[in-house]
Amino acid sequence: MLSINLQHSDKFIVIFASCFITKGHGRSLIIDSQRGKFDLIPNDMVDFIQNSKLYTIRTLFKIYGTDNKEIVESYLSFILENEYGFLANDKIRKKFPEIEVKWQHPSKITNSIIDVKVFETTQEIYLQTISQLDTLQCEALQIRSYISLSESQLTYLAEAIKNTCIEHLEIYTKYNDQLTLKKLNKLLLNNQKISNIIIHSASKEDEYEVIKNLSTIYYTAQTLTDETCCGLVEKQYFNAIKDHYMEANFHNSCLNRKLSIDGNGEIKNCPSMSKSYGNAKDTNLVSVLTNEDFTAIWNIKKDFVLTCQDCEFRYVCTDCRAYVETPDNLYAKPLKCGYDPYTNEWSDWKENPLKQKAISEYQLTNVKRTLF
Amino acid sequence: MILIKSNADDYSTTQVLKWLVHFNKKFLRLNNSTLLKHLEIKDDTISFVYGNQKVILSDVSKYWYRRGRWDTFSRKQLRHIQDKKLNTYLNFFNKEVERDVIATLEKSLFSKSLNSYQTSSNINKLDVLKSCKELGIKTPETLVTNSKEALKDFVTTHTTIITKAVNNLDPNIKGNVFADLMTKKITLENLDTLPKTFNISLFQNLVEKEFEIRSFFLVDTFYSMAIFSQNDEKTKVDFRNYNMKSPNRCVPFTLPTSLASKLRELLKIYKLNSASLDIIYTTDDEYKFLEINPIGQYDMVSKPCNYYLDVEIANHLAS
Repeated sequence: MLSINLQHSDKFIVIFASCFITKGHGRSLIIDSQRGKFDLIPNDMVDFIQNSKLYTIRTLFKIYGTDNKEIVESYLSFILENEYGFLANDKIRKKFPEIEVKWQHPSKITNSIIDVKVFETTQEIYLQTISQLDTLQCEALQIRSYISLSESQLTYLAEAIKNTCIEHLEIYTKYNDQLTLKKLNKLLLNNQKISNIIIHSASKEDEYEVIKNLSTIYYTAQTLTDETCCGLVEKQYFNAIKDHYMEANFHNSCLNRKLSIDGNGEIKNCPSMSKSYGNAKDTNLVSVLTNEDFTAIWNIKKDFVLTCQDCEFRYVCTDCRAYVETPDNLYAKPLKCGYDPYTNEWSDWKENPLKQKAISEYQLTNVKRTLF
Repeated sequence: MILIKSNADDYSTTQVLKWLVHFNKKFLRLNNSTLLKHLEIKDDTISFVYGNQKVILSDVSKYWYRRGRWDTFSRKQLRHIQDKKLNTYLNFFNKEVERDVIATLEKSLFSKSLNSYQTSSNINKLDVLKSCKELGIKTPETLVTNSKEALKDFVTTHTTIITKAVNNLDPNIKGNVFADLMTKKITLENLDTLPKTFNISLFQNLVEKEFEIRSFFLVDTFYSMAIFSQNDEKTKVDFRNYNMKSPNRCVPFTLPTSLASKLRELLKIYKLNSASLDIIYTTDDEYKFLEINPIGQYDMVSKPCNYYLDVEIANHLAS
């Protein structure tokens, strides 16, 4: 029915500027950055979209010929039905410029991770760290506790961010039966900036929404024992929202403007990485930012990463520089990614014979499914 | 120093201030309900104390009126006056004085201003429509009336019409009671319920839209966005109109240069160097101007189009 209407149309098909196409080796991704969704498309369709900028729909049908009529029809209906594009006459379509691909942020640090192994160790550096993150205009903080935290310890951690720039706090803590749902609920109501609390190592999988705060309490049976749990690249972690897409075009999609403090108080790009830039006890966070090694990694975007640079998911994916296939190569593919953009197949990264050397080097042999 | 007048909960102000921090610029943010102590207007010098800080207006490098009321006097001071009539009179009197003082204060900042309370709070929609006519900016057919008879003629001519607020009042009536100032459709059937004479209201013929345009004007540039707002049932069955069905699709748009220059003239008349403009692109391929909003939520244009208007505003204030 679509073709009957469109075959003789003198209109053009215009892809909405908020929809971006990432061409991969074997296929491509069309990303709806406004609605945060994406679809896989054949590379031939990318060429078709290029042609559609030059020709009316009537001409497109002519160029592709009767043999390809059905393909053209299917492309058009795919674009229109998924609202990736719209029809416009020649005059008005020129009024729709592309979205400028750029990413800017006023904060020197946008997000931070603080790991907790021994509460007292974290407590010793916590307040001064928060105050420095505030100076850096940090917006999001994740506290990952491998141990059980008590209600008063959680309150202490949450209260400290109250009058700071930090707008979102996410807390991971180990299950213990003293920390009742009632106590957690109270904690969330008293601390509006907490967006999520994730209780790991629990006996159940459950989630509770605290509607007044728009926040959630998650229970999961997964365990969180140490930093090696991180760095998994999987479809479920893909993010097609505009800000992420834009940032990934220029920066590392995990580490850009991130500052982490591991369980020992060591300042790092990410707690899973070995290199420390000093202990938060006696090192100023601002001074760490002047270290070029610390910030250089922010600019390792996917276009520079081997294999990833040919992948259609490169701008929706989260990167990992802590665990890579060839540990001494800064530009190697993330180890914990099971996708091959040359065959377009997903497989279990842990089973990949080519990755075994790196897996043992990182001592990851016992790794199970992970939380983040 | 950069002086900013806003509300405590205005998100956009906070975002711009983060950029000013980033640029290492000194600024002072005044929110509603924060009082100016020790106000002095003496010859050419105007100063006040805010918190512990003395602000001399000649030291202000840029002034941004984002939103909110200026409070110069404490209304609390009048509370102890028991006599109701005297209290009402003094309140009224204070308001009048306050208006003059703020006008003087803003006048001294005018050349450094990005908008002002004076220009933003006194937009007369009827004047604007008249100016549009003079400048050749197309608008929907408009009728302002309190007469049922006149309205009836208008509906008969245009079939479907809308009514909207004559001016952009604060919709907050009291506490959490809000006036509904939304645009409403009116048909011939609605008229039966109306008395012969009613409150003065504004009516316009309903314009069939292909898409809507929200344009944010900053100093000299229009940052525009097309909004593909949801259409009615009939377009669903006709694929050729599919583009209009896409709900909420918001993408960058470029205004035609001739329209942009006319709109610049319009903004000049009302001394606005920043404002949001509502325009409709009709199914007849025409641009119809709806209204100016000096205090628009520009973030709803900035975010989807990746315009980074916070940075643009901060850059302007820092320059």
